[in-house]
Amino acid sequence: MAIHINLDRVMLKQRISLTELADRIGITIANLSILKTNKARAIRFSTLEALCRELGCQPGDLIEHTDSAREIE
Amino acid sequence: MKAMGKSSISSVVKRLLDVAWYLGGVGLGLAPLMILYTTFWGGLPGDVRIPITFELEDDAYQIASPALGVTGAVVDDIRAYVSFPLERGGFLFVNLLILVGLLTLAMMVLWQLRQVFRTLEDGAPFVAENARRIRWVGFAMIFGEVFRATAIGFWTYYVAVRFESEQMYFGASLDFNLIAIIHGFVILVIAEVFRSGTRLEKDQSLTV
Repeated sequence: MAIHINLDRVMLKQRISLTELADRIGITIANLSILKTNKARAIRFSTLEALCRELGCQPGDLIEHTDSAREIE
Repeated sequence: MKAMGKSSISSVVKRLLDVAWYLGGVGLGLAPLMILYTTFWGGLPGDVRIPITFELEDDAYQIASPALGVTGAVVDDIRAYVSFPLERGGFLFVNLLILVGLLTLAMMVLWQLRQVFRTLEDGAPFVAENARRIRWVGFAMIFGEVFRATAIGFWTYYVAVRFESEQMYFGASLDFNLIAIIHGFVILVIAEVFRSGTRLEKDQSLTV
């Protein structure tokens, strides 16, 4: 997929673990892991809002569009 | 009573399908033995019963309704069964093959339905296999009706050619049930609904 989630990068910057973040935003570790490993098909605005609030970032810091063809090059 | 899950309508239907499956399995297991027996030894005990269509001569009956002021009502397109003892031979062999064919088709449909109702009993209906299974049931229903109509045509034609009676005229008829065919197509549409449901379920499960 051309949409890439940079959650692991932001989490590392904020020095927060998956367990703690999941607990703070109110979703399961399993679902957060799905998001972190780019397996998610969609993200709710409520989840995105909670992530930005807890991580102190903008949606653009978490979500990135990559050109698949350029990636292969 | 709830429709899905444990102790639901689905679980009751699943049990009934299980019983039908095992009974059908016994019948299908006995069928080759019956074919062998009738081929090499003799006919089946009891009578063979096959469907017929016939018409009666006008002077063979009189139907009237004084209350309605009706005289000379006509009976036509009569459908019934004729029973007769049958020794071994080609007709008996073909009959058994037809029955085995119908029973095999019924068993395959029962197997698919048992799997579908198992998922309903588990409370997880939208699995990819269910769309395939239901589609299979739809095609089996359409094909089964064509097969059944052909069998009826064969039987009625056999009676029309081999039997005779005063004042009764036997005829051949396919007895094609269009409603059953439409039901088959409806089931195919339901299979597509299940496929869409499976896709939505998958998207939903991966929506965070």
